[in-house]
Amino acid sequence: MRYGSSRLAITQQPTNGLRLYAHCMAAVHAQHGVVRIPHTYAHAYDPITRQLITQVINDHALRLVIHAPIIPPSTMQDTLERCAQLLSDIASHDGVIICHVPAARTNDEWQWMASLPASITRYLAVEHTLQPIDALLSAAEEFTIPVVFDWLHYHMLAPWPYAPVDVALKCCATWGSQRPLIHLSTPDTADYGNQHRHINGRHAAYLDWVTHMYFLGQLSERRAPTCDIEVEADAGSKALAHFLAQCRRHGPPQWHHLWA
Amino acid sequence: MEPILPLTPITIALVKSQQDWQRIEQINQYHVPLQHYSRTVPSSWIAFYLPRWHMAHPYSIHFVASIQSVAVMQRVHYLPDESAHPRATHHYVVYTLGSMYQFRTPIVSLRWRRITLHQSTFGALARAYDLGNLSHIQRTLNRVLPHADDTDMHDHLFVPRNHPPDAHVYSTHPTINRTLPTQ
Repeated sequence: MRYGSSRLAITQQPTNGLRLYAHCMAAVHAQHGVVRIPHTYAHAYDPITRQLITQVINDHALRLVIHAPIIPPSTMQDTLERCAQLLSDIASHDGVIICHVPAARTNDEWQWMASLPASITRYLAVEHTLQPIDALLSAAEEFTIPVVFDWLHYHMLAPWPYAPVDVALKCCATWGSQRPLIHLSTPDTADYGNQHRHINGRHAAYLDWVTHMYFLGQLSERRAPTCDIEVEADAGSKALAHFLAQCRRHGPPQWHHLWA
Repeated sequence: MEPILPLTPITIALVKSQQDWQRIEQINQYHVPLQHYSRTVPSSWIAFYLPRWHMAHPYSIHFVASIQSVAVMQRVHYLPDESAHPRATHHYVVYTLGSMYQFRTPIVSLRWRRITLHQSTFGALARAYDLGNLSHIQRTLNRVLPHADDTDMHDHLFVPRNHPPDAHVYSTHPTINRTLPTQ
């Protein structure tokens, strides 16, 4: 199982290829296997830079994940093309471009995504956000685009019956032969006083390790395929390191292979 | 029967000893010192946290009971056998309990903590992996669940009484991690 943090980016601004290389090296240094890169990093880099990045990806088995802007995919074809071109250039075969489909425009957006060239759709995945999961899964099956299960989004919808493991298994099944990607985070319930109003779905700085340890353990016991985990916490790689340390220390022995 | 909604409040109470548990099971009574009554929540349900002394279900909430009536009494009046108790003349809130149910998925205290009285809801109990998450999940539910949510959770929450304990819960417990006695 590979882990990564969403808060590794040094900067979100458009930059040169060496910045992306440094970003990958930072992930290697933090012992991450999943690297989220801002979509603004997607450019056509010169061959030497591409070779450097390809080498570090291959040497350390990194999986690049590009989070597209949270807008309807049909309004950002250029961005998707740039991202797919970058993943193709650096030979990131298991790279992912994560899109967010608004609940109100589900059918149109899915049809549009399915009509894109195969060079883009091979990297596309849709994140479960605020739409009913059943509708999302049926669309994913119809258009053969995988679904990224997001624990926080599922939790914040407060569904009943509450079965995150069952839903995660269904999302994993949409990935076919690819390694599924799962987002883990904890809702922020801190009281910021009157100056900051609560934002539903905001990530906490840390990861609630007991909840997620049991979530991953139960996924494993129910024979889910090996997944890649992206931790979306404001403390970034520190939150991930703390989560893994707690799991290694307190986790039951039969689950140690999950965070070894 | 009154439906159990996600925001139906419930008091979680500690069962300190085997004698208290026998009193709950045999004469359907549970008591709270009057000075601690403000820490309970007005509700017709009470869940019981069983600490280490309980051999089959330690560190966990397995059982919940409906409350039929509440009365304020002196200890000596409802426990006449304990007239020599040092707090015999103290006032207690005495709950008369109705039917008792067993949670399908018990809420286990995976990180060490001891609670005496705690306010929660059935929605939070149904979602918690760990006792320590109850408050956290409750704050989330308070924001996202509509107060008009009329989903009846009864069938999903409970199993018949004396259902075998979920061995999986304890097999992964960081401190217990043992085989449960068969029933």
